[in-house]
Amino acid sequence: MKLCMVVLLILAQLANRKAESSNSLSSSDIIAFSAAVISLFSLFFTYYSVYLSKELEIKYKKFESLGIETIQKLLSSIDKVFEENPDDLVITQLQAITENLVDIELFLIQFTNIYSKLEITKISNLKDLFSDELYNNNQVEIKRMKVNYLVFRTKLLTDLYDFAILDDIGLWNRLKRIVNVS
Amino acid sequence: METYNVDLNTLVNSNVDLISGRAFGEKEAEKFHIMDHVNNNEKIVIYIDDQKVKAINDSFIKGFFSDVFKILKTKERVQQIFEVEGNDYFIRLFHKNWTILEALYGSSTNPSAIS
Repeated sequence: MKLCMVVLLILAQLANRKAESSNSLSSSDIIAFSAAVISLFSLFFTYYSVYLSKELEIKYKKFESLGIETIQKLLSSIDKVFEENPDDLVITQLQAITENLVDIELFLIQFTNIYSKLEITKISNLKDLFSDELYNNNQVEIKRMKVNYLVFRTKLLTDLYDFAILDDIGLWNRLKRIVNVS
Repeated sequence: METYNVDLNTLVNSNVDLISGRAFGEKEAEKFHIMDHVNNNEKIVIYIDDQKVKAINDSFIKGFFSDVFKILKTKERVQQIFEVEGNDYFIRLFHKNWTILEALYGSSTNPSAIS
């Protein structure tokens, strides 16, 4: 609104000068007018970019604190099982690990009420794959399944970070919005 | 209301004391004719003895109940028909998975959740 008023003011001044001189606009007037318009666009673009980057930052922090931190907390329970019982057979800790994996899936399912574009099926499949590996290797020592766990952990967090950067709340959508506005 | 018993202890033996696999769950649901009993409005009680069954992978529960949730949709309706007789861990595990299945197949389904 303010920008429109400034543009109107400049146009009014130019019209006034034109009326006073009763001549057509000089080239310097046109250059000055163009410079003013470009400056105003730049100002608007800068303002909008700052606004969007701040919005993105807040949304990302919200996603990180609601989603990723909760998942890391849930994963820390499984970390503990792997750290504290490296020589036990997998079967002895299956109940604890299964329950924590179900909690992760349950949380993410509820999380899709807020972030509906989160691909829960992909994450569920990832979890099921790891869970099946554990059940299929239930007679081996836990330490031998640690690499499988780390792969699962990394993929899960990567999927969530990718979602944060590229999808629903992502930078790419914000850039598209900037391009559309400009 | 008639009661039908599903004894999951019969799925383990001295060599295998775990129950796992989505496909296995689907197969066992067919073997127990679960959908027939649901359609007949029978009460279904699932028995799990923790001395015999050491752990159940949630993939089995998903496979076992996927058709049930396609029809009944909500956890509330499933709980009216199914009852789990076992220790707290197994009861909790079934209830959590029912919540997951309700989200996947229920009326409040997130369209992106089902591929």
